[in-house]
Amino acid sequence: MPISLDLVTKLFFFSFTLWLGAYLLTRNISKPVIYLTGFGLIAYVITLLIELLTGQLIMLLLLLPAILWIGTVLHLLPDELKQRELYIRIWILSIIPVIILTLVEAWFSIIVVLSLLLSAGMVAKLALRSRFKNTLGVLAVVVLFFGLSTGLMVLPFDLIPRTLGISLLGADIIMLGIVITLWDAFDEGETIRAHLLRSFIAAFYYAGALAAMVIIFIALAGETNFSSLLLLTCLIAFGILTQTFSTQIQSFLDKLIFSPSSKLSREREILRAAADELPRLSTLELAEVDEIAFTRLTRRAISNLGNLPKLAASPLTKLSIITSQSGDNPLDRAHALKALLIESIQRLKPQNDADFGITDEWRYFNALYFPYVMGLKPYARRIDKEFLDEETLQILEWFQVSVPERTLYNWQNIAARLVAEDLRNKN
Amino acid sequence: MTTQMQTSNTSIRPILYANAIFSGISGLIFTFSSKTIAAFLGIASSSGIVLVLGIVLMVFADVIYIFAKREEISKGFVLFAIIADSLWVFASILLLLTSWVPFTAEGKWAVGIIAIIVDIFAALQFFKWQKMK
Repeated sequence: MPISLDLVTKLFFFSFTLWLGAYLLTRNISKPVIYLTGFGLIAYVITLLIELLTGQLIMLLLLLPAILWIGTVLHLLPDELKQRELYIRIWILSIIPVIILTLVEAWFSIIVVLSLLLSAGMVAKLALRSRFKNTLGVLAVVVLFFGLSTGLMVLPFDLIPRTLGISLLGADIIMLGIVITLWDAFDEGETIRAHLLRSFIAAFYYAGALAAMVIIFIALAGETNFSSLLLLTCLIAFGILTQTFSTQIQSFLDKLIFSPSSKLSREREILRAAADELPRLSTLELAEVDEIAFTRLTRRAISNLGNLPKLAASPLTKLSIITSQSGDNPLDRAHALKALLIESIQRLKPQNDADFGITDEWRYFNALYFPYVMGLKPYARRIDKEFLDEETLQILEWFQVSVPERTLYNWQNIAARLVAEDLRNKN
Repeated sequence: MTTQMQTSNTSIRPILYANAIFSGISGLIFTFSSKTIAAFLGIASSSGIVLVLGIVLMVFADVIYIFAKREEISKGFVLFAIIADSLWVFASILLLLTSWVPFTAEGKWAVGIIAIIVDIFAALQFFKWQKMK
């Protein structure tokens, strides 16, 4: 088989979805919306790889991006929505049964297709109330198209040729990935264009250079076979993944060569992460930011209090109170922002000598100070209590027994609003 | 803390009992009607495998019942039940996905339905396990 348009199309979707999936996973793997979208893209890549190498299309794998997407939409629902947790639970519970039913009878995949169409409606409804109306509006349309192309591929209709179906599905998945990347950047108060473009060019320059050698070899041989396709896809994947995960690979190499706890290793890690985060620093002017957006930025910055590189990319580093003291060095500005936030959090503490209290007046201080400034994780499954003093144990017990997770979350939001107000006043 | 532990224990007990009953009944049917079941599934020549599976299921049901009866149910044991159920589900999906076993249409349905029931047990146990301290 010579190099055909069909092969080029599949290789394009393979490379692009792999890069976008990997990019999303490196962005923020702890955020369900991000990792579910990322893994959805990777599931599509695996389906395409198997199809490319063996000519077999595994419907179950083709269904995975759709299933993961439904989860993404459910995680997009606002935290305040009471039914959110219930919907997510139902989704988790029904994944395996739906997969099994589809394996027994292909028509059962209609459950996934209908759920996707329902998800499109859900996103559209969400767009009406959200701050990101345009992004979510586009997302609703793309989810709708994604639902339709998934239906055309997984339901036993045979209405469109396989290559066309794969391309349609690939285009929809790529659009979904891009819209989610944009949504996440808005949500985090970051700018995205430079960072995304840099990652894309680095990955494709490297992967393209590697793939070109195999393509020349295939062109000389005049035909493709299993081995040459395997080599080509492996080299493309290697090129894309090593470039997209370059920061993580360098951290791993540092840990191998230097002692993981050494100062040198830690400092290199901070500098590398800060350099990676800086292209995301938003260009938005704080003077033009409204109160709600400012509170959201403050809440994000407080959540990243222990993560200096993330703080360096916070738009709050452009507060005049920080720039006047810390100059141009991004890490100095991050340190200054951290100090400023801690100072504002400490202002929430009631005026008495005690370090900890459980009365109502302590709740906002407790909600921010202990989890973010002290770094306590009250709901962590594994807590090494041996190294904690009596008072810390008491604080942990108070959180675990008297403060449900959702209540803590609500208190943190209110406390963040108070801190934001304090920052605005200082500025 | 003690109250929380008791709540987790008491709420997981009925799930473990249900799991034990389902596994026990399936084990009994597999053991005493291994030839009929094998023919129904489309693997008439391998009734021995169905017999072994039946015995294993009965032992599993026994273990679950004995541990579920205890006053304190350990987190490790619940994890064992989750892993065992998940392995069953994973194996069923693998068999349905590949053509290693020539199941009949009814056999496919039976394997699928049993896997769904086991998956529900695994998921419910997992949710409770997460809440156990």
